[in-house]
Amino acid sequence: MIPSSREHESKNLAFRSRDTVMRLKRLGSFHQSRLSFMRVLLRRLKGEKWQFDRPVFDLNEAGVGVATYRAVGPKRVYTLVAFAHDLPDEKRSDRVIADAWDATFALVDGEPTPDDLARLSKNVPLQEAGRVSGKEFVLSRANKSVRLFNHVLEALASGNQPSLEEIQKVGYLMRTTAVYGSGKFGAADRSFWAKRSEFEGSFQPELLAVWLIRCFAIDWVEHLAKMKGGSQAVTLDHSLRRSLGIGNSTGLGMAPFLINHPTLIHAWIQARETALARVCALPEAKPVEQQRFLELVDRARFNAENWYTDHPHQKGKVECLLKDFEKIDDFLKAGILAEPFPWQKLVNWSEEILGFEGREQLASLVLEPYGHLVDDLAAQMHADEALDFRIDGAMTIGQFKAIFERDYRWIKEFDFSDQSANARIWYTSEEKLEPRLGERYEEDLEAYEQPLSPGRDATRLSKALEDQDEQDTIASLLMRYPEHRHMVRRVQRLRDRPFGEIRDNTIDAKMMPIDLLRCKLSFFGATKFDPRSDRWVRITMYQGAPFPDELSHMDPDDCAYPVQYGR
Amino acid sequence: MSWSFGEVRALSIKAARGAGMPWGLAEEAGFAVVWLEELGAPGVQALAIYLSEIGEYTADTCPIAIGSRISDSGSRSNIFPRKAYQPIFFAPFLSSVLGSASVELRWSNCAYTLNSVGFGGVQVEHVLSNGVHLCEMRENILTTLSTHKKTRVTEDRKEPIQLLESFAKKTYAPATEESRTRGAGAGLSDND
Repeated sequence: MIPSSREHESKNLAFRSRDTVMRLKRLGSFHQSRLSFMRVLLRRLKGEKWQFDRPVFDLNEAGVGVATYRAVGPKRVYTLVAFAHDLPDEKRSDRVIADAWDATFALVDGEPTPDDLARLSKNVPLQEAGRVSGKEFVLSRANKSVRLFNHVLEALASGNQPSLEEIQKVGYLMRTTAVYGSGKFGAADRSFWAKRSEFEGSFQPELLAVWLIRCFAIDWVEHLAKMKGGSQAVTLDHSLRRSLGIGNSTGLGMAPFLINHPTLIHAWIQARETALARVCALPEAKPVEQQRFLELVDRARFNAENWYTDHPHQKGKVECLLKDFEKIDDFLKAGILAEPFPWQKLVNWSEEILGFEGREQLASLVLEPYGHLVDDLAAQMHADEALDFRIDGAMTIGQFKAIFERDYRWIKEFDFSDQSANARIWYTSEEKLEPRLGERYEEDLEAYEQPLSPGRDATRLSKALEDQDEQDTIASLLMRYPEHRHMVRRVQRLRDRPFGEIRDNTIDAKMMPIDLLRCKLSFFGATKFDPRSDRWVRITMYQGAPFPDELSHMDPDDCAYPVQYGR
Repeated sequence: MSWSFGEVRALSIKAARGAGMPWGLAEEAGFAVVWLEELGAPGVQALAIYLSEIGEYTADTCPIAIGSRISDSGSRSNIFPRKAYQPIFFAPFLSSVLGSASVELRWSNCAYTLNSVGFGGVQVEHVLSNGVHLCEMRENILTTLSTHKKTRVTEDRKEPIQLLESFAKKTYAPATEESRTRGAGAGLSDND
């Protein structure tokens, strides 16, 4: 059989090993890249010349009402419906247990009819307590960042521009606190729209909604400023406006995703690692590519200098990253880019010298000059998790053990009889049905444990595999040990997906759930990770990105790393 | 009001787990319910009735456990005749091993026909019979089969969905202040 081009390529490129990549510390240091889904979305919207307008903007003096944002593509139309509310300050909370928000949103397939708007107005403000329909693809909500929203509002109302310093400290006017898609709360299943070319990749409807929510946040503050300041009020300068992204606050709700979607995670990481391997295989860097890289290193450094966080763990990582930038500068000055195979040398050097933040920042940065070489990989960053669901019961136990011992050797690193390796327990709380993390030996939660510890479950499976007749089948093993069925499925499913499994202990006493969140959010394209504890994090999205009215004359990829405003 | 298949799959998995199935079999329950619902068959009702009928979960008469054995082995030999609850649940698993064949599954006064892409002869009032039934299978039945796929789970499933929710609830830990603060990691200001 002739290998496909992908198989052929995989065999000829030098990939980083899965033991290197699939560790929590590494995944928890990932940075956005050319393959991040926000960037994929904006490239497509620009390339296909999508048009945007705001058919409805019906907000009263207090800023309460409804607005719609329409995105018109070559084949289809989508509309973000935004409901603006008057939320008492004491009710504002990022927590999933909140039951009211400053603004709530739905992304509608096509244009909403008056009946749709009436139906949505009764349900969208309730979020999880309401229902949307198969005509909606996304349900979301956002709260004001009171630190910045009021500052910007007061400045604009009095005819002044807000302070750049204040903007940079926060980075957004509003924070989304959930962005639900893929069938949640009645929305359309992913399979309903997965074959639409405009949504090729991952999370494209969700990120379209978020990009339009960013527009709403600006329109809302400008509307309120006008109501307050009258003719004295001004609108935001465009360069300042672009420095405002949209925030997001994410907790444990997102953490199990990486474990529950191993096929998809493989597709994401395989694409990024392939991109890195393609660039590292280049025998030389052309002067224009070197120039582009150096410019973006400078801008990434500026981004890191404006990365504010109070969380001691992340603060230390950012400090380390800033020192890493000095080392990168020195190394580049020594002329490495003019040498043969410069990118491979740079990446190898980073693995020996830099911290995880620095290594992964560099792994993203080296892709930047090579859109023509790597951007096509974005099309592979999706997966049908229903594929390979069926267990191959005819496989012999001997064949299964060979795969298991190849792919799960890493579990031997952990001693699950030790309490600290087993200390945590993933469970779902009755309250809003959100995942949480408990202490196994301190709380009475064992009966509620979710299967989110592949390392521990693989260890249990390995014990069941001992002393089995190797000629016997997996089907017969599962008749005797039905409790291992989920793990057997996982092992078989991932046999050709080397990046699908996190090769780490997800129930260890020292495990940081924010590492799981960071990995996923970096693939979205998030920046400025600001953990608020070991299990929830704030981020910034679309900071620096063009707005709909700027997309035709700006390169969204050039906006992914900030320029120094005012320079 | 309607439900997405993703919601119904997730709910079915939790309900099956709540009723005592191991996780891997609960996943099969989710697969089977959605497979049936996509073809317009009453998967949600079937699971709700089945879970309500059994006091304690046992694999012997569980159509999902037996069905999984069929799909694992890739063979329908040596399975029937067989006693089981809700024989409609055999359909998703049998279908996956039929290749070009078609079969009829019969029990009490009910029957359905099946091939690898769809099934026919199903009438809700007949196929959702309570209790354990002796099921028999006949090979090579020619019939007209429904393969029309639905895109949503419809309003008439409301009651059995509520029943599944009551089983799913058994997988949720009660809400406590400790869980709220410690389990979710709150504590710092989230209103700034």
